[in-house]
Order: sequence, then structure tokens, then C-alpha cells
Amino acid sequence: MNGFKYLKNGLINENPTFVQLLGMCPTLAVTTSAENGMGMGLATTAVLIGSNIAISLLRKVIPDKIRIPAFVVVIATFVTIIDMFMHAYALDLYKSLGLFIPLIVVNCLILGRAEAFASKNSVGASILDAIGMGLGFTIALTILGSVRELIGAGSIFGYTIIGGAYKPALIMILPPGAFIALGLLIGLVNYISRKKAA
Amino acid sequence: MREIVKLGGILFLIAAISAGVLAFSNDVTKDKIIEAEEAASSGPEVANAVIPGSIGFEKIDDESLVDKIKEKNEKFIDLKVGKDENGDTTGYAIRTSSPIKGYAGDIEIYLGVSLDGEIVGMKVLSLSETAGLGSNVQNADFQEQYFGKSADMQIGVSKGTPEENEIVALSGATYSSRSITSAVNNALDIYNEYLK
Repeated sequence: MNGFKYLKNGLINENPTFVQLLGMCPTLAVTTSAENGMGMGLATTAVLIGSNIAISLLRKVIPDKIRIPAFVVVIATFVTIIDMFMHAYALDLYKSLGLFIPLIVVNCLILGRAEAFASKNSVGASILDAIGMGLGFTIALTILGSVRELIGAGSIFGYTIIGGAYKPALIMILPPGAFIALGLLIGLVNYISRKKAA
Repeated sequence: MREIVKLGGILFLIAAISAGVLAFSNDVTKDKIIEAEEAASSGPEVANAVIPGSIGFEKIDDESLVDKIKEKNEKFIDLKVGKDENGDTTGYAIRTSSPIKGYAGDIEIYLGVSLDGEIVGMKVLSLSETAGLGSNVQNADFQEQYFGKSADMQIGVSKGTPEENEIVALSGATYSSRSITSAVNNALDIYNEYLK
């Protein structure tokens, strides 16, 4: 596989959210607005790139028996770093994502890529894989956030799109809306990919 | 036995390196974090939103008053005075969290009260209400309802047509509206008791 394929794999073929259904907890919880979705996606991407590089570099040093605790330590380190930097440089986003930043540690997408990809591949490939998967996750969360924000609050990224007489369907920014929107989007993705295959 | 020591040693090394990296990034960010928190809670923008015309907050002359209020009022957090460009006092900024819980925890605000006892501005400092719903208590349209009201009376929350001393609750976010109003009322109590 060449570089482009790694990217495309994460972005489309094996999109973490729409195809693999990984990392559903942050996906459902923080996509109340496009901005939150994008922020969470980018924070996760940063952690994923860092952890994929570190784990790929260490793949010959870490014995098989202790790989999971070693991966978790590496991932937790990157998450804590991101947490500190967001606190220092992006306070508003830090406050609106709140508890979900430290919870990136348990996002199965990151441990999944460490175990399935970075621990078996070269650094270069692991970086591309992390970028592909991370951006795939970011795009999915941004789309989901935009749809929920548009229907639930009439705006996208805080800019009013439908105003006036439109009464926002509040349910879309409440937890049930997350399930409804995600379900419909996955359905749509499946519909398109099946049509393409046929 | 030897294997356990070896595995433990490797894991220890990884953890030790991680700790070193974290100590370094903590060192880089810790001052920035304090600065960012400070600017977000009492920078010039906040001062102007809480008491229009101010460029910053200063400690109140009688600092013992802050401790005295803290003893009596457990939701009270801080008290500052606003200053304009000439260094004149513009009003009081009372920082308090809400006695009545919102939909998800307390709401913390700065309430600006002018020298002649009128609510002139406010700023939400922290809340965990539902984004896009309860979090709309941060919107200017909602907060403007409080402005101009006299500190003499408690503010109520109405779901229909508001009376003189009432504000209209956000639709679908009555808990949040009540909670933030309770914070405003707590600040007014403090004003009436200690500052008037």
C-alpha cells in the first residue's frame, strides 16, 4: 500500500466512526455543536499521531507481554499533554469539552490503532495511518456536530443558518438526538457505499 | 523471575520517561494556564461586560470584607471593584455561584452592580448546562433581561409575561434560568447587606 491508500483507508474505507463504529462515547457526547465535534476530533488526532509515532518507534523494545500497559502509559501521556496545552491556549474549547478530554485515553480508536497498526508498521506508515484515521474521525464528528447544531439550534459553527420562524428541534442537541443523527448518517453512508459497490 | 524483573524494568522505564515528558510540558504550560484563567475570569473584556465602561477589576479597599462575606455566604467567591480609564470606581463586581443547582451543577457568575444599585452587566464564568439549551443563559438576549433592574428586590423567573421584577425563562431550560437567577439574587443579597 502506498501513502495515499493509508490516508484514504482512514478517511473513507474504514472510517472510524461511520464504518468501524469506534470511539462512540465522545462521538455521541460532544457533538452538540460543529465546533465541539471538530475540537474533539482534532484533539484526538493529535493524540493519535503522537501515540502512533511513539509506539511504532518502541515496537521492537516493548515485549509482547506488557504491550497493553505500555501502550496505555504512552497514550495517557499524550492525552495529558494535549489536556495541558488546550487548557493554556484554547480555554473556551477546553471548558466546553470538559471531562471528555482526559477521556480520550479510553477512546478505543487510539488503542485500536496502536495495537492493530503502529505496533506492526514503520513510523512513516504509522503517521499516515494516524492522520487518515484522525481526520476521518474529525470529519465524521464535524458532520455529526453540524447536523445536530443545524437542526437543534439553527446554526453551524455558531453562525445562524436558519433563523426567523424556524423553531429549533431541541431534541437534536440532547442525547437522543445524537443517536438519531448518528444512525441516519451511518445509514446514509451504507446506502452510498452499497450503491457504489453495485 | 528474571523475566518479571526485565518486564517490570521496561515498563518502569517507559513510565519514567513519560513522567519526565509530562513534567516538562507542565513546566511550559503552567504559567500560561494561570494567565488564561485569569484573563477569562477577570480580564479587561470581562470587566467591560460586567460593568460597562470599566477597563479592569481591582481589589476592594477593605479586604477583610471579602473574608467576612465568605464566612456568612457559602456561595460567595469574590468581590472586586471596576475601574475606568481614569481610575475611578465604576461599580461592584460580585462573583458567586448559584444557591439553586442548574440542570447539571452550579452556575458561576460575575454580577455587575453600579454604584447607585442597579444591575449593569454580568458574565457567566462556568457552567455545565446542556450545550445549545441551558448554555444559552450565556447569550446577551437572555442576560439583558436583568440589566437595569434595581438591586432592591429579588428577581423572579416567569414563564409567561414577566412582572417588573421578573425575567422570562429560556424555553426548555427552566432549571438553568432558575439557577442563574438564584446566583444573581445571591449577589444582590450581598450587595444589599454589605455594600449599599
